[in-house]
Amino acid sequence: MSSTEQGTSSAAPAEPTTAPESAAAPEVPESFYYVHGKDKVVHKVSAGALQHSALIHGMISNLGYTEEQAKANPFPFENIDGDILQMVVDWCNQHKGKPTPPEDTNLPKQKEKLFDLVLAVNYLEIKELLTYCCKQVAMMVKGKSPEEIREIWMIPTDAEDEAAEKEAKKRAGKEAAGETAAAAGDAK
Amino acid sequence: MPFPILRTPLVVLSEIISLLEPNEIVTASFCSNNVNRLLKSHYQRRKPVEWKLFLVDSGGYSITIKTSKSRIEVISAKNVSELYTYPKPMLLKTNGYITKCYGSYVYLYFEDRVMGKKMVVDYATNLFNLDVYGLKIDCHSIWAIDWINERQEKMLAGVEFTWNFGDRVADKEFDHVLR
Repeated sequence: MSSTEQGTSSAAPAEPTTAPESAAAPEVPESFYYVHGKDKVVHKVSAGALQHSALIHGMISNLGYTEEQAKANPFPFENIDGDILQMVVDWCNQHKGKPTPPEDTNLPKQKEKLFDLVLAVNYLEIKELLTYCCKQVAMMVKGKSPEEIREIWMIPTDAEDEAAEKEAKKRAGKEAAGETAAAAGDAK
Repeated sequence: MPFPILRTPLVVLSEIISLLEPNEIVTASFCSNNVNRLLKSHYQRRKPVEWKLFLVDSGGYSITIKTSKSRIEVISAKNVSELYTYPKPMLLKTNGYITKCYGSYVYLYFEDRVMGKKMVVDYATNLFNLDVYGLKIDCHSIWAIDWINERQEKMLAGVEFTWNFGDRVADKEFDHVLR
């Protein structure tokens, strides 16, 4: 694993003493956890920011890590690209301890990353961010015709669906025939 | 940048569908049979009980849906003679009708006006798993009251009758409406 350690985003410094919510409870030092994605780059995130993710929050509650243990065992998310995880971490930091507004202007602007972001957010169970992402997806087709929607959402035509179905059936038939032949060979 | 919506998990897909306006749902349902089935199954699982479906026949014939926020026209039936050929529309010829999308919703053009009206009612009610809640009709569509009451278990909540200047509706027909 890379020893690179990225602090929390510049928009929301991770220092517990400067965080506004820590002023309400100054006695309790904020704990930090570590996550990494496919690129193995470790991100340091406060427990407050990670509250947004039901998955990570559940993991933290179940494991009861000390800070040292958490540092030594970053949560691995091998199915999430590093840059996507960075976006998610940034968003969690920006919304740490704050009620999430109905419209979010801090969403990542890169539309090409939206699909991967949606999958990651769904996996990490970050409900508010998922809703914002889904709103963006829904906005894509506002005022569009069926042909335009088909293009934007990459929906195959009926003819393409039929061709794909035929192809799948053909492949399944071939595989079944292969298995039968293999079973007959074993019997001999 | 395209977004492969059909490759998203079902929970995400349901969330996206729930964020679409009714007119966008109807328009999306014309993308493919697969999407049409998917939307129908979404509303089978989550019936949009807060939406009220109206059939409006005053001049044009359309289906509108009243949501908590607004009243939205979702699909309209028109006679094929009303289809302008210029500017050249992108037509999708299907069984007995032509689909065209102007602005924010879909128009279906039919040879047979009554068949068209029935078809859009069937289309919207099947898609959203809703009954027709109310009617706004003129004297030419009185037949729709009986037709709708026969095709659904729930009675119509209301009928608004629009009187066009020059209409000569027989007393018998008015009696029928009032009954």
